[in-house]
Amino acid sequence: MRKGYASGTAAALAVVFALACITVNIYFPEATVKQAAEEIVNDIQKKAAEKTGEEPIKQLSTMPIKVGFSFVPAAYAQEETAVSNPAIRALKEAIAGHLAQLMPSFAAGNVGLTNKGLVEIRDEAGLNLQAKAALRKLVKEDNGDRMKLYAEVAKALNIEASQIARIQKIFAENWIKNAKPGWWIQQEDGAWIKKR
Amino acid sequence: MRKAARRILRVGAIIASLPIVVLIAAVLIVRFDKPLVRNILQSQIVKRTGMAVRIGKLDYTLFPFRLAVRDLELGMEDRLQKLDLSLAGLEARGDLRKIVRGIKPAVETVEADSAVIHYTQKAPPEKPVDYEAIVLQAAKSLAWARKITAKNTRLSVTLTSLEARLGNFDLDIRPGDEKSGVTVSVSPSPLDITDKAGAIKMKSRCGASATLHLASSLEFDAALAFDSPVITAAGIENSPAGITLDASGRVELASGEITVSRFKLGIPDLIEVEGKAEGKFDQGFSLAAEGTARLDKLENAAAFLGPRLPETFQRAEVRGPALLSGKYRIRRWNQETTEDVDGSLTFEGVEFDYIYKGLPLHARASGKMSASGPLRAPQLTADVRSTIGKFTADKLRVEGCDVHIVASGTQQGVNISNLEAGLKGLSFDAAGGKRLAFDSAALTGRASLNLVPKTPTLNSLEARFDAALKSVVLAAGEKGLSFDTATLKGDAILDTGRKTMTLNSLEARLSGISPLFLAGGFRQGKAPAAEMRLETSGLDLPALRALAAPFIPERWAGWDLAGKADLSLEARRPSISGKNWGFSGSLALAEVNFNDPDFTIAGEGINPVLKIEGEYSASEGLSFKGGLDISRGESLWKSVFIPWNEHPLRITASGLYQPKSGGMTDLAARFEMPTIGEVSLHGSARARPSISFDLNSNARLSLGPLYSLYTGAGVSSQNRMSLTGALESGLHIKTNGDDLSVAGKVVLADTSVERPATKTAFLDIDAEIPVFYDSEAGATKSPDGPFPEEGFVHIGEFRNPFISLKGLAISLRAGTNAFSIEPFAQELYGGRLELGRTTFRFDPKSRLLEGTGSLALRDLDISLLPIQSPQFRLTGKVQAEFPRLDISPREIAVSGRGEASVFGGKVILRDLVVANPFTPGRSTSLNIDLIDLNLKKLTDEVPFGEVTGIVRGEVRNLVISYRQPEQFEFRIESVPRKGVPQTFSLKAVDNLTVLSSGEPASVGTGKFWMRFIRGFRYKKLGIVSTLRNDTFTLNGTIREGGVEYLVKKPALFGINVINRMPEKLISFKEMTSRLKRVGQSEK
Repeated sequence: MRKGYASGTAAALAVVFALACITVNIYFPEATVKQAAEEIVNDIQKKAAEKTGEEPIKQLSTMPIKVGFSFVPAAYAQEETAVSNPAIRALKEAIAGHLAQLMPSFAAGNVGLTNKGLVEIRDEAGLNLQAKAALRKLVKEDNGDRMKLYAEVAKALNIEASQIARIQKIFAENWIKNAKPGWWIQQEDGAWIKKR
Repeated sequence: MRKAARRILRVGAIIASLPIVVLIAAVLIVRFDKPLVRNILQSQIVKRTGMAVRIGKLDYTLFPFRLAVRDLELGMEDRLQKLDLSLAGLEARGDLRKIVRGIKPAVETVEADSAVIHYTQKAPPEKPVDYEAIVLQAAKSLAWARKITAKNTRLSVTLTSLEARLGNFDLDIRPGDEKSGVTVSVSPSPLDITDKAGAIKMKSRCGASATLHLASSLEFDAALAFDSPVITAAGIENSPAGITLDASGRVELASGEITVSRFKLGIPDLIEVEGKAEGKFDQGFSLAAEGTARLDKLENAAAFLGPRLPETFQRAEVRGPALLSGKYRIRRWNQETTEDVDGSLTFEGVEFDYIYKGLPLHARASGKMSASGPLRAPQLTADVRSTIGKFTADKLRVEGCDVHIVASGTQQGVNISNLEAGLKGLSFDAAGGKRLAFDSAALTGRASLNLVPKTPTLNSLEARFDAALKSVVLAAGEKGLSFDTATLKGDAILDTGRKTMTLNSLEARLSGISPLFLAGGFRQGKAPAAEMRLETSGLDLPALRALAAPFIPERWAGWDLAGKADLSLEARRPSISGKNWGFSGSLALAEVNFNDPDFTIAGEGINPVLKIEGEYSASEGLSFKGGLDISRGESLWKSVFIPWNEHPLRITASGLYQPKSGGMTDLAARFEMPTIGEVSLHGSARARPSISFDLNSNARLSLGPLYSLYTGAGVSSQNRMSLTGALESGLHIKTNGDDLSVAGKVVLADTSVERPATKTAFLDIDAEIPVFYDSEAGATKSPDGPFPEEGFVHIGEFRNPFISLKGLAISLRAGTNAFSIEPFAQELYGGRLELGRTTFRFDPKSRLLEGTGSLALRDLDISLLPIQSPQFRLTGKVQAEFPRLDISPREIAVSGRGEASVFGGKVILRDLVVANPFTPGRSTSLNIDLIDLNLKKLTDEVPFGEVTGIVRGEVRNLVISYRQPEQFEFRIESVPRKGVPQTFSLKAVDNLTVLSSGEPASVGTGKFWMRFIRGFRYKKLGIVSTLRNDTFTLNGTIREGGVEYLVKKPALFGINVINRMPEKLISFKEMTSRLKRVGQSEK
């Protein structure tokens, strides 16, 4: 009787142990995300640089304005990213536009890049209310589009929404890697430094 | 002669010898017949004094003289008094010769034994007692003896109001001479004094000694000692250890003058009284006395007085010494009595303990209190310093208090000429759970009190106070205002006689904010006048906000605020107006900065000035008018940016508020911005049971400057529009709690809108737009009405790069929460656009706007449509019949279909749905049918290379997002048609190969030879392509022998286009590249 009781207990413990050892692996293609992030960030910064005139504007922007519909709209013709869809392309365009407008603010130290792949207002000294309002509105819109971008990347790669924070972090590394010297960047521990 | 002489001598001798005989006989009688002598003596005493006398036994010797009496009884009684004296024995010794010769003192000793004296006064004397005679008689009588003693004497005196008994005492009287006076001593013996009314009773052992000079000028020097007296007064018994009384003085019996040169009363551990007095008793009575009373232990005095003290004082414990000194004068003349006092009470370090409502109160006082003048109304002065410990009175708590009062007054009133009070740890629990706590407070001032009423009332008070508060918390429920430190300094006058209160100044310094100055006056009465002014300048708004943080709703907690404020408030009630209060005030803010956490609402450098004035009466309510001016700084409200220096604002408002009902009538407000226009409101409002308005608003605004407020922040220059024109509105706005209804019209006049970035313009707009919103009502259900309100939109011209329309006239109708665009038709691209009645309904509950309508396009010329390209040209007609459009924020669903007659066939669009139509991420889905398209006509226009033949196909599940294809399933196949060749040009083959494989046609085609061949025949063309997840597939529909053909040649001559990699996926990027190459190949 006692032996049977011991066997049952052992079996129960074994089941509990086995259940305790189960690891739920959530699919997260880190390498793919890193590649996508690198491409997307590079592409956005390239577009932003074109908008600010820092580099020559590419030719495909010369599509006739009369074209109301096309399979290949001019603005997106230079697609080079593996992870893409119309939403990502539109968001990249929007973020590039924001980045172009934010360049002076990054250079002046008004804003910085966070370790979550977002933009944060750092210092508004010297800005009047109108400039502050415009900057905050721009940053808010930009962060909204960035979060949409990260969500779209997750959706395109079949990554669960709960993993978007990891996507943000990977994107943040690329944003910071591509940041210009003198821009404020947020380190892993949350501290802010100026990129050298 | 001689005989006569002898006769005369004989008679004379007889006569002369007669006394001798008598004397001899008397001597013999006296010597040998003592009873006879006793009887004679007894009868003589009766005869001479009128007293009843009984002498039990008389014995005497003449030489030496000794007289002894046993059982002597004397009695005297008349209607006024009765005296009984009995002696067990009386013995006198002396010198008979001196007695006979009248030489005093003739008696050496008089000794009485067991004397019992009873004196009873039956009635007051009817005429003044001749005390002088009595004293002189007594002096004369006592002078006979050298020493008088009485042993075991008992004395009982019964007066009309008093009974006194002194028992078993020894009396020693030494009459002395005129110089030494009479010395009297009474041995300690039981004394019993009883007031017949029962008010006073005293039992004690009493001893006395005195020296008396019995003469017309009666001098005395007496000492009385009461041992262990038991005194009962008013039913209260006291038992001091003893009482000593010493007095010396003189009484002028003839003139009735009394002088007490020394008076001393002592009760051990209780009181010592020393003094002197002068008086006169004649036809009137006067007395002047002065002295001091020293109480070393007031606690003993309090215990002695005990229940005689007021109940309040009985609960108090007093300790310490006090000295009472003063003069007292009384004069009674013709039944008039005047009494004057001039005294003072001095005390130093008197401790006072009292239990007030269960809490101990401790005080220590020093000072002097004086009284002078008539006793009935003495002038009182006081100079008292007191230190009071912790005490609590109702809601008032004080940790400690130092008080210095200098006052003077009468029984009717007191003037406090100097009041200094220093309080520590003062707190006051006000209503609503609020507590006012002072770390320290100093009060100086003057006051007058009226003591006539039972409860003393304050006549006037002039006070200057200086209070310091630490950790002040003004609590209201669970919330409170907190100040680390605070001081209150002020100067006020309260005059209850004139019923006025004047607050000359009150300065409140609260930590963190600038001083507050308050002044005012108040008068009571039938026409009470009052005024009050409150001023402060440089009020720091962040500090004020920090203080009021508990009362600020959480949604405002994250706001930043900076700036200064000057506040001035004045309220007044002139006596003429009776109960009406007038008030005015201004609040000037300087350099105000504020913003919400998201910076969607913000202001910088704003200097608003608010002014208000009005009048209040309980019957009519509160009428007010005020204004707000803002002319400096900048504000941001979401996307609206206002530079106030460019667009100054002036708001004026007036109304009548009824506090009882919470209603506001005759409400009028006007918002003026000279550069933009004005908005006026008038109507009524209520604050209870919920905030509600019933307002008519009229607005006249210039749209250009108004729109500039929107573009001032957050709108990039390329996205800005140009807006001109005027807007007028007349709206009736009603709110009741969360319910809102708006009805009226909005009118646009000469309005133009242009957007340079898109070259879009609406010019010369005139509109009258009805508004009919009611949050409580549902939307008008039926599309056909009722839509009672009419309106219109007239657009002089609409143009953009694709279209230009002129003279658009659109009729509008509006019903509750619904409006409709009435049917209208417009020439468009050589054809006609017909819009059916389009109705929009808004559900206030779900806040959803939904609409239904219909649309038809008739014979639109495709060649005029803005879809042309330099690379190709399309021709044909477009017809569309969309009998129902369902419009919602989620989607626009279109029933029906559109049909374009192009390339000899038709392109049919159907199942059109736009998801999220009002967002940037909107997506359009539809299905397309391609019917009998002539490839020759198509490739003549499209730079692909000539292809002939007829094709049919479809595009299914086409989804377009962000103006790009997101997915589709495309299929096209050739349809043999008699008389229509099916050929492929080499270029078309090349381009098809590029599209399908990414590479030009294979080498096997031989470019050189191919240039001579105009076209290759094909048997069948079949292509299927899909786009999903940004990945294209491109395949042929023809499969033969395991080979997938896009184009299959006939049996003899022709061309095959084979898909060698049917499984290959083409990325969006690759397809973009291939299309680009196809487009470039034309060049």
